[in-house]
Amino acid sequence: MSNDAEMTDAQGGAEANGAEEFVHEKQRLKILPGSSDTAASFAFEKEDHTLGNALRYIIMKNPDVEFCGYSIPHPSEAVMNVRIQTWDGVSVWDVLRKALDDLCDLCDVVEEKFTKARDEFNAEHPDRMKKKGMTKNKLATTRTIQQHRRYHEQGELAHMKFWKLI
Amino acid sequence: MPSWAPLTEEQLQQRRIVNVNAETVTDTAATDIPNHYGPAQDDSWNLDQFRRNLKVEFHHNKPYDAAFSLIGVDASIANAFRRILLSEIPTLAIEDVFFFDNTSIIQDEVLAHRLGLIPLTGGHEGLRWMHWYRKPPPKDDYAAQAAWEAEQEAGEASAGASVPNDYNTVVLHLNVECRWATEEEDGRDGRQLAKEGSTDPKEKYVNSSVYAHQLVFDPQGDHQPKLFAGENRIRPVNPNILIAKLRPGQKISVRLHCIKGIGSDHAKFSPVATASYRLLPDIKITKPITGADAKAFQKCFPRGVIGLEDDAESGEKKAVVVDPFKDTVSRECLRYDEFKDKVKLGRIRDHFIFSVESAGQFESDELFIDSIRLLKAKAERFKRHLSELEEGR
Repeated sequence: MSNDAEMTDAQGGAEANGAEEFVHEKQRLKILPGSSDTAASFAFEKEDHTLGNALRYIIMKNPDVEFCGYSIPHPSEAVMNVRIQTWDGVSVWDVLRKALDDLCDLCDVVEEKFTKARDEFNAEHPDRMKKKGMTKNKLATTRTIQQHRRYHEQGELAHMKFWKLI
Repeated sequence: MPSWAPLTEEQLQQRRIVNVNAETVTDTAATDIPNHYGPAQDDSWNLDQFRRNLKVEFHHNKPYDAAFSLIGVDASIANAFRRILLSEIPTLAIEDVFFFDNTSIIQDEVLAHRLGLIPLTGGHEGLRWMHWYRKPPPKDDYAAQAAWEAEQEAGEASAGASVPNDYNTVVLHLNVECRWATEEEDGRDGRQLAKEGSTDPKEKYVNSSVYAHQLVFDPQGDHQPKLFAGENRIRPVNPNILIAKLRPGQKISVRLHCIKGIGSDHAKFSPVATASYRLLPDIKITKPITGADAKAFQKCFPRGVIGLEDDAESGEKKAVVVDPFKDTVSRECLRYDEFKDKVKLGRIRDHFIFSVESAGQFESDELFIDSIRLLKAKAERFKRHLSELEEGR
């Protein structure tokens, strides 16, 4: 099998390959037949509920939208469809673009707030990396195990005495 | 009743509550979408308002266990972060195991599976630098095979299987052989101990148990020795994971290839042990509960949820809500007639108490930031695709 081949060292260009992939990115968005400017269905390839539901929410937040819903037509196919219908001749393309922009803005705000809250919390709790002191219960368990081990070493009789078997 | 006026502050607070009743849960769907109420209620997307309402409160932040509240987001957004944490953040794990020798009683395929599940860690810079390794689908997965072939024919830039190299593969070795303990090498004679009746394999043999710390990292190429040097070396998170047990003469000799992957491909690539959220419980005492009833009411909840206060009116003890965070929403208090119409249970719709337990490759708080960035990256990608699609129309 080809998997058994010896490992080779990549020749320099491997890093450039990553950037190349970015340029020749596969088109993963399609518009379904029968779509018009104000009522269209988009097929998002290799996407699922993660983007589907988040996008649905943010599209519905737009007052120009009459209807928005998403579905995954078949569980074995990695395709997620989004249906958008708009009021007053507003273009679905503009709606979808605004939704994606809004989602990016939302992520930026969440990241900003999360990082700030985390840094403040860490500053207030400088000892958070240390392990907490053992609780009474844990100490007792450790002691029992150590005792058990000691008795075991001393011989079976002591061991059986310890466990109240005789 | 729909009204044409905007919602009052009280109504705005009420629509944040999911009602938890004795037998049912009501008002589960969010209503903060435009045109749900009258036209005067503005629920359209507003970034400044979102910024003002969003709150993050940390409860604890240990390296591999973080808990925090994310307040002011919709369930669809919180769920997207959770799903990304579980299945879309890439991590390094053992993927291919090459057997040179395995005379242990564990079969090759079982041992390979066990090895694959060991959580690894190492220098974060190096782990993020690593490239993807594209693997052809398994021969018996016909659907994946067909999709793979179609992609090959389309001649995409990313098509074709990867060749293992120092950019996409980390190599580990595991070479262990079990033998009798000898006086010269180990300071004890295993055979003699056995004659004397010792039954402890640790005493009689050497390498009777194979542990994760016996995996040896073998850096490849020019970059790996620098990126994964010293403290940054690729190693198991927990050195004490038992991999196999051996007896004298048995040997395991394998080479392991680790690659970057995501949790949706295999759970071993998931960066978290669990990532979950719950909604903050909400308890409202609508009519005073006093005296013996107050004590009984307190017992319906976990310790610390309900407190007793001196009531000036009746001169008795009165039940008050102290800390709903500790409640489990067991609904025990709804089973008794004496509390009927005196208490209302619920959960706060937009208050998500996250718990992120890392498997050990990255810190929990970093993982959550990664999940936010990944959701943004998805949106950015489809912005590009949308422009392309619109141009080609």
